[in-house]
Amino acid sequence: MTEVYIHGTGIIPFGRYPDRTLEDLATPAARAALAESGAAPADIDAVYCGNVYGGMLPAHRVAARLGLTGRPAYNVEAACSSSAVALHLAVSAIRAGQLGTALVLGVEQLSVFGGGTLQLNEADPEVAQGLTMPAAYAMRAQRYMHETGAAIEDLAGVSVKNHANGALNPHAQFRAPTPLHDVLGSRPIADPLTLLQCCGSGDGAAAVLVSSQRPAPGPGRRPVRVAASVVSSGTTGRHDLSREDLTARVAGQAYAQAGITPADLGVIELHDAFTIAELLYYEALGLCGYGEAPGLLRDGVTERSGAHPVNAGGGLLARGHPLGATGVAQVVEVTRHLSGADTGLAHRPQVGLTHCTGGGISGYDHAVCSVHALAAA
Amino acid sequence: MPSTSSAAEPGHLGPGPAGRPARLLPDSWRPRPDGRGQLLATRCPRCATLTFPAVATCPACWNAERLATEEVPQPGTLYAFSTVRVASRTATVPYRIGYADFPGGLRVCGRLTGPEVAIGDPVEVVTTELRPPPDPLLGWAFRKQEEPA
Repeated sequence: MTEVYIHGTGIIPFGRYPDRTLEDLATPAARAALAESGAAPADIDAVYCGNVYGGMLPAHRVAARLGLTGRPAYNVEAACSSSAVALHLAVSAIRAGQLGTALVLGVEQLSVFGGGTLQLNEADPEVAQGLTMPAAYAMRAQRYMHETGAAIEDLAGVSVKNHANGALNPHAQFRAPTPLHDVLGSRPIADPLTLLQCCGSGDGAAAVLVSSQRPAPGPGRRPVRVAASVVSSGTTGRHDLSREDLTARVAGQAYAQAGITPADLGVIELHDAFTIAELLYYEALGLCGYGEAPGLLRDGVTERSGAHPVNAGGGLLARGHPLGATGVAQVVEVTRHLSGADTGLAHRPQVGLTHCTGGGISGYDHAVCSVHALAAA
Repeated sequence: MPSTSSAAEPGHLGPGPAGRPARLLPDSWRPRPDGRGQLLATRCPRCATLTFPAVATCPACWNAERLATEEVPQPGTLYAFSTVRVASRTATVPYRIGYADFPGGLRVCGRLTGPEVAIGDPVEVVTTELRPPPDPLLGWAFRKQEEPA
């Protein structure tokens, strides 16, 4: 199978930019990725863009700014996994020999909606009953605490860690360290979740250039390859809220594709839209067993200094979660850790993983889950 | 969630009898005169899969013939819930929402009304106003079942 390499990465500081356009946000991220790769316009065979709420044809709108017209351009909507799925499609096309090099973008501008919880489809029956995203995760938190005896302090510890990491990330939207007492004392959103246990609303963009060509190693810079790329929809029916079967299944496929085990993961960016989610995903990714996630967090295993740093850039809780941008933003961060620049992790990683889910519709556990494994090549 | 205009597919919003408020998933429950409610699921005669909300085609085997509507037995058992204090623009906070398990393997989302509840409580189905006038929407809710006297 054709190997796929990451040639360039770009990201803008996540934040609130209500006075800019979607194109204004995505173009600098794309230009940074293109500049880092050294590519010329004729090298780019296709443009992929993940976005949820930005209206018609965001890939085409950004491509016009970049002079990347007259070639395939694809718009991908998969809720919070939009740009991860866009990357998956680009990787799949390169592996299949359909194209050689693609620019993959993720962009979102939530500031245009003001604030508050995500606007879901009000014709959806569970949404009509009041099932917001925070409410859905609050129920997962309540059930997990009920079954395992985890305390709210265990959940809040995720927010403390990720905000501490975000304080070190110049691209993070929320850069203030938040002690446990602030997390627990913040405004109640959906019991037992408080405001600082929920990702914020904001804008952002990220981009990567992927290619079948192996990049020439630069000074202090290792090539990074895509070792696994897996996407699946969730399932409808009855789900166990305290276990995350979908992530476990998709991650298992990714481990098999990459020939790795969870023990190999030296850096992980996962979908911590709410604190409880990070704990559930430790277990689903196989970093620990059921009910053991609070201990893993307490023991520092997922800190920047630990064996399996999780959300070293702040995660969704602190970097921010502009939906369509998140999947590629995670890949940008993990690529930079792997490519050899000193990113401040205690152990230099050889293999990393990114994980996104996406949902907000009736019946599913999540509508979609996507996992990428990246490796220093 | 069915979203087609096919007459055979149950809609997710529909009017009650003339002049009555709209009802959420009108093929999947019915109000009772005493204020209680009855959830309705679909049983496939070919593969025996029980589906809620009601469907016109079995999602497990794609059979679309002789699907039977079954009343979902009560009480259910409360599986998880949350008190929501910040919501989208239409809902009035705070409100409680949860999942209840019913015989047949169904885990159903619904509002909660009545007294305080805990995970594992037996719950019955009642009728509630999910959305107030001037554009009211009726749906079901779960209420803790009273201890037998």
